[in-house]
Amino acid sequence: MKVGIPRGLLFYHYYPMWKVFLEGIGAEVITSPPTSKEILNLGTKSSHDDVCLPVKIFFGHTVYLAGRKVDFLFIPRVVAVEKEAYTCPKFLGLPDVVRNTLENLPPLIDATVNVKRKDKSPLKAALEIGKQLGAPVSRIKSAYREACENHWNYRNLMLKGFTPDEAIDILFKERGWEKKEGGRDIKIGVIGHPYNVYDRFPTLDLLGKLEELGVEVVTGEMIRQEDIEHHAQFLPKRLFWSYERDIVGAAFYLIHKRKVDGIINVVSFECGPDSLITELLQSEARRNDNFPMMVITLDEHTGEAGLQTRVEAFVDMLRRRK
Amino acid sequence: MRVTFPHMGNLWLGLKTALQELGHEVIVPPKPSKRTLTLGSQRSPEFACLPLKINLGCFLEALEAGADTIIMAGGVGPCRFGYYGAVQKRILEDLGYNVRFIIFDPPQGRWREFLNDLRRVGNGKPLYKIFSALLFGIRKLEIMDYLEKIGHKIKAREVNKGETTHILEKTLHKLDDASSYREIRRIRKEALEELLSVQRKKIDPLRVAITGEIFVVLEPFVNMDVENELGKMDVEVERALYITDWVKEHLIPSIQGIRKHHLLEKMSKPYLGHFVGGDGQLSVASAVIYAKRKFHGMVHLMPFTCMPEIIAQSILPRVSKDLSFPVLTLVFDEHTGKAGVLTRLEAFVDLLQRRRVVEVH
Repeated sequence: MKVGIPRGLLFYHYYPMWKVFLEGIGAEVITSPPTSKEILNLGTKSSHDDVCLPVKIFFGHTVYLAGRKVDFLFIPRVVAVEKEAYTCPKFLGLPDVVRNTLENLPPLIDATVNVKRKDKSPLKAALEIGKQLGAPVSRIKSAYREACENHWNYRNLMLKGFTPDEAIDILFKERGWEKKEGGRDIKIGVIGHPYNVYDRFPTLDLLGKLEELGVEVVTGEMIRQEDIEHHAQFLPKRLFWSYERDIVGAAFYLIHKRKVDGIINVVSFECGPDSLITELLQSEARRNDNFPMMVITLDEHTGEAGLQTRVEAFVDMLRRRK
Repeated sequence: MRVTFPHMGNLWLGLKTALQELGHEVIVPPKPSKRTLTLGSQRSPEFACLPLKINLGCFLEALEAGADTIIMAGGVGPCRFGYYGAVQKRILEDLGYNVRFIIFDPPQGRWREFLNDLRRVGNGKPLYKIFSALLFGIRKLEIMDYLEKIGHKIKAREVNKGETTHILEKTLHKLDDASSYREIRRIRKEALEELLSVQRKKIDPLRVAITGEIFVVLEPFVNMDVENELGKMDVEVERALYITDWVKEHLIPSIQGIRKHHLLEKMSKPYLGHFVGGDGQLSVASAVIYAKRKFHGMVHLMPFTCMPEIIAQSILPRVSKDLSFPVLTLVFDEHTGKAGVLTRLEAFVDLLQRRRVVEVH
């Protein structure tokens, strides 16, 4: 039985967990290749004009997988991952939007995860998925445990400074990675949703560009959750989106503790939550002695030369300030 | 304390009444205008949705007029609206304003905080006084909603276009001045009589539903007066949302509110199996409901970048196709022009008329 996981949106948060779980209950997991022009085009053609870029890319991956004869598409409805917050509204409606926009889809695995409700806990979702794929309960439970463990391994690898791609390689290809050291005089925090920051195509390989310029990069996933939680409390009101709260917490931590020389905030065009938190981040940076911060807005028309120039200028400015 | 609040359709009528009853000096911001929009969008985050920009514009205009306290509704997500207050407060602080914000988060289990805020607004008055002031305000809104519902039917048929709108405007201001239940009952009766005496044509008008994001639906300045424009084209309009519905659903738990919620869930289920914040589920559900009620079409209004409505917008084409029910989505932002909206509305109404002729034959 082949289950396709589109390489977009929450893929970067949970892929190792999903893969281990699905394989544990006897499914074969297929992912789409890294985002490319072809995949983006598939996405922009099939999705609605007004959805944000990450969702368009997700659509591209979904269409790609649907054409690869998978038996199921794995698009869970992740409503809430903590008691006091939701995820983005787009995730709440994602399976429905996919189902009602695209034609000729294989059946979806769209179990709901909502930790605010006892009957929608991750374990219940796992059992539902297992049942859908016809696995015995004992096997589902052991696969679930293993998957959770794997999730923490993945998170720990990212804490150590590996990007999701690298961490996934280490976990599943058992390849060792040497962290590049030396010769890096400035540090930049790259803050944003993982599906924006780590996807090389829409960001035009921002992380690679920074590496080439001799910059040490810190991302939100490399910061301990305690620090993030602690600094997110400086918000005037508790933010009710989990992933965005992490972004704000991470950025506040870097700003307050002066952990980096500057911050690049990567947001996508038409992202609802980002539109508000970017304002909060900029305001916070201004209030902390004009902490250097650059906002890069991504859309499907982002041009390489423009981005390169802005990144270089930002890095030059940070070097001068030193 | 000179209190102000953002505009949303007729909301000001109820809020002003309630706050004045409690002994506050109330500064109602000027009706949203081009200037409100310009002021607001200059100082708002670029990709914030339109309601935030208009809200902020209203605040800036009210501050100019001397307000020092802002009352704002909050929320606990996932729609952005719930975080408006916090962001707007920060923007105003950064602009150098010294202003007090009282943000009302819907109770949803946090009754203590809610009551605390309520006492602050209550101006030292006992709780029952606060409630009776609120109820009086809501009563005025209910009357206005009731009259508007009747007005929609008359607007489509009136001979002299604009007459109904004029009566409603007049009533709105009479209600604003009224200070007792007896007075508002009299105003309601008078307005009703006036509305029913409007000279009407004997036609069977097209029936079109209006749904979407509540702020855009309720605020005529933002939606380019869609309701009246449709009325001018002899179309009978029914709105899926009224201001008192919002109050009943969010402020005062009522059986009506719960029942409506269940209905929406049931109706949108085949297409959208989960709530998505804001009015997204309502928009999908109303397509199903109005198609069943044999309406001729539906106009779906939303602000640019609105997350819940983008989900609805992505799903509506499928609903429309399945039920053979024409839906027109209009997206509004600070660059929307009236001519464009009118052209699209006219084309939509033409299409509906054609469909009707074809059906008859």
